Amino acid sequence: MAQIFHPRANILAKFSLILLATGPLLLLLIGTGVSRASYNTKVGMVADQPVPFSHEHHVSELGIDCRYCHSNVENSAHATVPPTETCMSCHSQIWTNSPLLEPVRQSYKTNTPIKWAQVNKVPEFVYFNHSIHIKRGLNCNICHGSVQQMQLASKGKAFFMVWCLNCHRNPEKFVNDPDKVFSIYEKGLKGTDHEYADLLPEERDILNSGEHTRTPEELAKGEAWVKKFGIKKKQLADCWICHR
Amino acid sequence: MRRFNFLNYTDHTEEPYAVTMLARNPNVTMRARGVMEKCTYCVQRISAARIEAKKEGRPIKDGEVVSACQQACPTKSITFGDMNDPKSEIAKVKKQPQNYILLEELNTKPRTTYLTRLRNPNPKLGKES
Amino acid sequence: MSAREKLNDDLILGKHTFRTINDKVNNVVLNQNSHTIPWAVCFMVGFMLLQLMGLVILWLLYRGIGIWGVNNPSMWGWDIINFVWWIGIGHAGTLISAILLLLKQSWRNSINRFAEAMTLFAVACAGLFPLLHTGRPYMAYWMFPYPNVLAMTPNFRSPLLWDVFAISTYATVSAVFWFLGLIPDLASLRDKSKNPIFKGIFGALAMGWRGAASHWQRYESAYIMLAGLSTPLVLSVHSIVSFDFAVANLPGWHVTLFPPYFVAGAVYAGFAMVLTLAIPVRAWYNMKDFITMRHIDWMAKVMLATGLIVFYGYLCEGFFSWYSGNVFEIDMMRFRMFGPYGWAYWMLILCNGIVPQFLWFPKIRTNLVALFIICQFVSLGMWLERFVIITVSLTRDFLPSSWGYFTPTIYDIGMFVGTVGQFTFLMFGFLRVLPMINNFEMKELLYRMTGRGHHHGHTAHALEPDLAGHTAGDGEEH
Repeated sequence: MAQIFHPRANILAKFSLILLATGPLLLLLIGTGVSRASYNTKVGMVADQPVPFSHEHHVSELGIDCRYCHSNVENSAHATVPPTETCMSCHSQIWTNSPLLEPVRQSYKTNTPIKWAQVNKVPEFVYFNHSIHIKRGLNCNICHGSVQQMQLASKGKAFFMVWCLNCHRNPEKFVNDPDKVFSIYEKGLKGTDHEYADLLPEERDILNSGEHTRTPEELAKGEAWVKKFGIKKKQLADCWICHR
Repeated sequence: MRRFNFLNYTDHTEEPYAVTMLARNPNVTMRARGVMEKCTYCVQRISAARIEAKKEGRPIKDGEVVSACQQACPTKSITFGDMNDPKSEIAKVKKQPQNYILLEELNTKPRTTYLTRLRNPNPKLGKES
Repeated sequence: MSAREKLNDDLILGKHTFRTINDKVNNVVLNQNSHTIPWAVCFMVGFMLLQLMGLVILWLLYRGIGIWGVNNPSMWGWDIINFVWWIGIGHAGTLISAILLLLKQSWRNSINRFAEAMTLFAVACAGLFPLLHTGRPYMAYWMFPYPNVLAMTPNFRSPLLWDVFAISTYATVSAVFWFLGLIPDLASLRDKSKNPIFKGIFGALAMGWRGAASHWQRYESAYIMLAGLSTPLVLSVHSIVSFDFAVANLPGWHVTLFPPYFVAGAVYAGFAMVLTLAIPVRAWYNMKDFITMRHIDWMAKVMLATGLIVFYGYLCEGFFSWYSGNVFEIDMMRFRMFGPYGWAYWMLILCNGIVPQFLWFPKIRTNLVALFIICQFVSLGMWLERFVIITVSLTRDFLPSSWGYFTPTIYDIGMFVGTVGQFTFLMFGFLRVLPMINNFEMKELLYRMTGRGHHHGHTAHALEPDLAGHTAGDGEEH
C-alpha cells in the first residue's frame, strides 16, 4: 500500500499533540499578559487634554502643593479636579496671552467648566475614598505614580483588585505617618537646596516611582501604625469595604 | 429576601446615564443584569459613618448609622445598630423576651430578628386592641 | 438460558467473517449511498432545531435570562431541569464503556461506540444550560481558578462550582476515551477508503496506527487506565449534580437520598436513550446481526433494575417526608401530590413507576415497538422528575410570602427542542462520518466466539472470560 504521509509528517503529528496539550496554557498565558499590558490598563498613556497641563512644572519646579488644586483630598471621597477659578488665580496675572491657555480663559469668560479627560478611574462598582487613605499616611504617589515628575498626566498604576488587596490584606506594608504625606514633595523640590534633603530611603523611592518594598524595620514601624490607627485587618479585605 | 436581575432593568446605554445614576442613589451601584440583589443594610451609610469615625479616631457611635428603612418608618419600628456592643439600643431590644428569629430552626443565623406583637390572652384583663 | 425465538445468546448473528464485519461497519461511512431517507430527515430536522436554538441563544445574550420563565421564587426553571436531564442521559455511555469493560461484559462491544458518542453529545447539550443560566454568560470563565487580576478564587464551598469541575472532567475524559477507542477503526477506514481526501483525514486522525503488537499493547493499557478513570465518574458526576439540590436547605431538596437515587435515574434515562437510538438505527442500517435482541433484552433489564431503584427513591421521599414529622417536609410532599403541579407528579409516577413494570415481561422486552414506546415514557418521566423536584420546592418554600408559580415561555421551549435538535444533528452527523459500531472489538469478539475468523451459527458463546487476550483484532488488513 502506498504511503499517505511523508515521514516528515511525524514531526507535525508530534507537534500538534504537544500543541494540543500546551495550547490552552499558552492561551491563558497570552490572556493574562494582554490583560496586564498597558494596552489594556492605560498605564503611562497620556490622555488628550484640552490644555497641556504639566504637573512637573507646577509641582516640582514651582512648588505648588497638591492640595492647592485637589483641595478636597483630605476631607472627601473625591480629590476633586479644580475649577477654572483655581487656574485663573495665577493665570489672570501670568501668561495672560499664552495661546495654550486660551481654553482656560474661554472657560472663565463663558462660565463653563473645562472638560478634562479623566485619567484615573476605578470601576463603577468600587467606591474609593481619598480622605481615609490620606489619613492613613498613604502618599499620592503610591497609587498615582510620581505625578510630580509627569509633564503630561498619565495613569501611574493599573487599578487591579489584586493590587488594592496587596495593601488591604497587609496594611503594615504601606500605612505611614499622615503628617508626612505632603511634606515629602517639598523636600524633593527641584533646583532648590531642598532637593532630596533629609529624605528617608522609603520616601525617596515613593517620590521617584511610588514603589518601595519595606525592610523589616520599616515593617515594624508599619505594624505600629496599624495598631495606632486601630485597623481591623480581618475586616479590611471584606467585599463591602470597597463595593456597594 | 434575594432578588435576581433577570433582565437589564436600567439601561446603561441611555443618555444621560450619569443623570439616571444621580437620580437613584449615587452611593450605590446600579446593578446590571445577571447580578444578585439583596438587602445590604445600607452599606453605603455604614461605610460613610465608619470612614468619618475612623478619620476622627473613634468607634462608630450607637445610632450614628440609620438605615433607610429605619429612617422612613413612621412608627419607628426598626432599630439598627451594633449587636456586639452590649450597650447599644439594638442589643437592648434583642434582649427583650418578645424577640424572635424567623425560621430559627433552619440555623441560618439571620441578623434581622423580630419582636412579636404583645397579646392579651386573658379577656378578663381587657379587650385586645 | 431460554430458547425463545429471536433471542439467542450469541452476540453476533448470521454468518460472519472478519471481512464481512469490517465491510459492513466501514461501508456506512465509506459508501455514501448507505444513508437512507430517515437519515436525511433526522439530520435535517435536527439541523433546523439547532438553528432555532442559535436564535434563542442570541436573543438571550442580548436580553438576559429573563426571557425564560424563571422568576424570583423559581430561579431555576427549565434550564436546570434540561441540564440535569441531559447529564443523566449521558451516563449510560460511560457505564457501558467503562464499567462493563472492567467487568468484561462482551455485550458492550457493539453498543459502546455510539453510546459513548451519545454521552459526549448529551454533555454538550447539558453544558449549555448552566453556562447560559449564569446570567452573564460572557463572565462564565470566572468559575475557573485562573490567575486573575482580581485576586479572587471561586468559592469552593459551592456545589455549583463542583459542578463545573465534575462536568468539565467528565466531558474531557469521555472525549479522550471515545477518541482512543476510535483509533484502530480510523486506521481501518484509512486503509479501506478510496478517496484520497478521506484517506488523508482518517490517516491523520489514526495518528500512524499500523496495528503493530506494540501499538496494541499500549492501546490496551491506555484503554484500561481510562476505563478506570471513567468508572468513578459514572458515580461522581450525577452525585455532584444532586448536591446542587441536596446541599441547599429547601424542603424536598435537603435529602441524603439524592446521590444514589440521581445516579440510578441517570443510568435509567441513559439506557432509555440508547435504546431509543439503537432500535431505529439497527433497522435502518441493517445492523441486526451486531445489535441483537440479546443486547436489547439486556439493556431493557438494566432499565428495569435502575427504574425500580428510582421508584424506590420516590417511595422513600414520600415516606421520609411523612416520618420526619417536619411540617415543611410534609407540606412539600402534599404540594407535590396535590398542589398546582400535582399533574406532573402523577404523570411522573405513571411514566417512571408504572409503565416500566411492563419490562418484567420477556415478550415486551423483545417487542421493539413496545420497548421504544416505554423508552419514550421513561425519558419523559425522568424529565418530569427534575421538574417536580425543582419547581415544587422553589415555588413552595418555607414562607407563603415567597410562594410563586413557574410558567415556561417560548424561549424555554425553544432551548429545549433546540438541544434535542443539536443532539439529533450531532448523532446523525456522527453516524455518517465515523464507524457507529466498534469494528475491531467486534472482530475480536468473533475470534473469541469461534477461535478463528469464521462463524457458523452457534458455537462457544461470548460470555466466557477473555482468555485469548486482545491480539487478533485487526488481522485481515495486514
